Amino acid sequence: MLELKGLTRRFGARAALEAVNLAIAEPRFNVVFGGPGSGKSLLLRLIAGLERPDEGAVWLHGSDVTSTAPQARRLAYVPQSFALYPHLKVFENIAHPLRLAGSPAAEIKQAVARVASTLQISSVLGHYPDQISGGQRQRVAIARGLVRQADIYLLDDPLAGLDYKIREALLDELRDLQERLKALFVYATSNPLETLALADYVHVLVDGRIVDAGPPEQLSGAPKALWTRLNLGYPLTNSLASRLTSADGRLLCENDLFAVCMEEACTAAVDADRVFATFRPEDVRAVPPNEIGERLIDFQAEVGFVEDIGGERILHLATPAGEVLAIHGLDIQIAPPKTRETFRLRPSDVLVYNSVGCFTGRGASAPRRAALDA
Amino acid sequence: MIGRRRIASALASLGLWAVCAAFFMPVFWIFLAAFKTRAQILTIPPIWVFHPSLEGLRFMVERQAGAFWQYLLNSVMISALAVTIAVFVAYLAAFSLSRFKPAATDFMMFLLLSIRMVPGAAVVLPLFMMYRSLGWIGSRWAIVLFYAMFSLPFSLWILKGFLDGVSRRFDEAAMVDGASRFHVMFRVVLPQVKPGVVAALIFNMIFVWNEFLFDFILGGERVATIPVALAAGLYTSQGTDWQYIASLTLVYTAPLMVAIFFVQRHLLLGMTFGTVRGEV
Repeated sequence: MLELKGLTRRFGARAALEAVNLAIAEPRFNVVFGGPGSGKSLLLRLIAGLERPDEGAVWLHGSDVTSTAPQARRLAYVPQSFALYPHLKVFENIAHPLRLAGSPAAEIKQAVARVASTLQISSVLGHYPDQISGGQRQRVAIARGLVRQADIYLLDDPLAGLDYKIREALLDELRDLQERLKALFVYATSNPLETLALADYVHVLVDGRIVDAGPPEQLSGAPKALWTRLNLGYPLTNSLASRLTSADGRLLCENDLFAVCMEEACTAAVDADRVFATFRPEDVRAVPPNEIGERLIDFQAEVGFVEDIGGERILHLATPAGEVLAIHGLDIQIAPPKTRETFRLRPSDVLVYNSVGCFTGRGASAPRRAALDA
Repeated sequence: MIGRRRIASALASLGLWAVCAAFFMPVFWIFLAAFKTRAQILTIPPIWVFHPSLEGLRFMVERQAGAFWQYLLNSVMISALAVTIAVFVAYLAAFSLSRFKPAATDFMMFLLLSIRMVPGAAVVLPLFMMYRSLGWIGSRWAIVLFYAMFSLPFSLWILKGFLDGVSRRFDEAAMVDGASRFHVMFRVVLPQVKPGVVAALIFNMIFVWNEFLFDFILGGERVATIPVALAAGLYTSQGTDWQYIASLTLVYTAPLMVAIFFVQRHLLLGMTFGTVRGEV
């Protein structure tokens, strides 16, 4: 359906995208997740035909379309900038792709009314773009992209900057729409929650390269790249500078907060003194008094700032290794700020990445005290 | 304190209006003169209140067996055609320069504008020789072509400024929607630079409508415009014909002034060369 073969785009000496390979065979909600400047928008522009690659090819439905004009690619596209035509009313802005396709007037009216109702902009169809709010303009831009029947929809961070309520509603709508249309949605975003909420499959783009790809549950569980591990989730994943040593024939990952024995499959890192032990905030649990945890990682931390995010609280913990985030439900009692408390991690929740950001191995067990002392 | 400031402001406004009135006085005088009799025009002090007469306008229309209508037709036709052709061609060129940015665009823009820096008197002779060798002297179409060519650089400058202010994202969005390049140019981008187009039309219209030298040298009697007729009809056997001058001036200035009054908003926008245009 969509295939990118070694796609490279350079600006001067800098490669904004480098050897991007990607193949999507069936309709699904595909999210391209990456930070600002990672090349997400450029990737979508290359697929749309708005940019030409320096190397590589774009294939759509089994044909090489690298040199094909955007008009002939028959894609629907929601650009990052709204690009609403200021001289046309909202209705005409949305109807524009259908008018170009030569659709009958009645069909246009029906299609515009349907998409406007979905996006809650029916009341502004008679206005000009400069007469409506920023959020409404954004929804008009989305509506213009979605009004046309296409096999492939490209959406470039369409929900960025929208208020929370509308964004939540649109996330559901977009998901439903994709299922209804049975089309391929390629959705670029830097928002981890949008990624996890929408994606059937995620491609993670870092500095113009795809560093990870897979279903969201796989990527949020054990991603191959450190960048994915750190950024795909909220709050951000904890990462502690650590080192790998050998003890009793097994690798041990140590840092200023804890030590953990690595699973047997763990490979020695290129630079053993510079690895990263990572763990999710939701895996850090406060330990009830007098509870003994056999072969678990316990550490002491001072509770600092407590962030209430609705049903949960984010605890900012001060530890010898730096700040660690933990997330707890409101029902769990925690010590008041500025007091020390014991927190606990399961060793298997600790994933270790090497100095170049590649997955090295998972923790297996907490070392015995004697082993640590040795 | 507030009262004193208000008086000072009122005095300043009054002073400015007085200066404006002083500058406008000659124009006002010649407009009034169009409705005076020959005897009333040159009286000193000037008469400001009088019974208006259409004698001057009637003489102007009847003079030289109705040649006035020919002059007026020439002025309207040559100006309208030349300016329309110039702005249309300039829009195509400006779109190309703005969107595709060919090599040495800035230098090309400088060269184009430098044509307008050369005084007319310096190019009229070589142009006359060229036109004569081509057999174009006295041809209405050749005059239209010359004015179109002469209006092109300035139109290009104005329109390129406006087009640079219209984001290319509009073009891209339309192209992905299935629009052809011509649709993008004329249905998506052109409506957004309408103020620039109007400004280019008006600025060039003012130039061509008032131009005397080239039409006088290259045109000949058959394609004489009102400025040429005005210069040619200044003197009669009885001396300077002020009544004719005043009537002709009124007829050829008033339509342009009325037009400018109605499009002055666009004219002011044109003067910013599109640099302050925002993106919706």
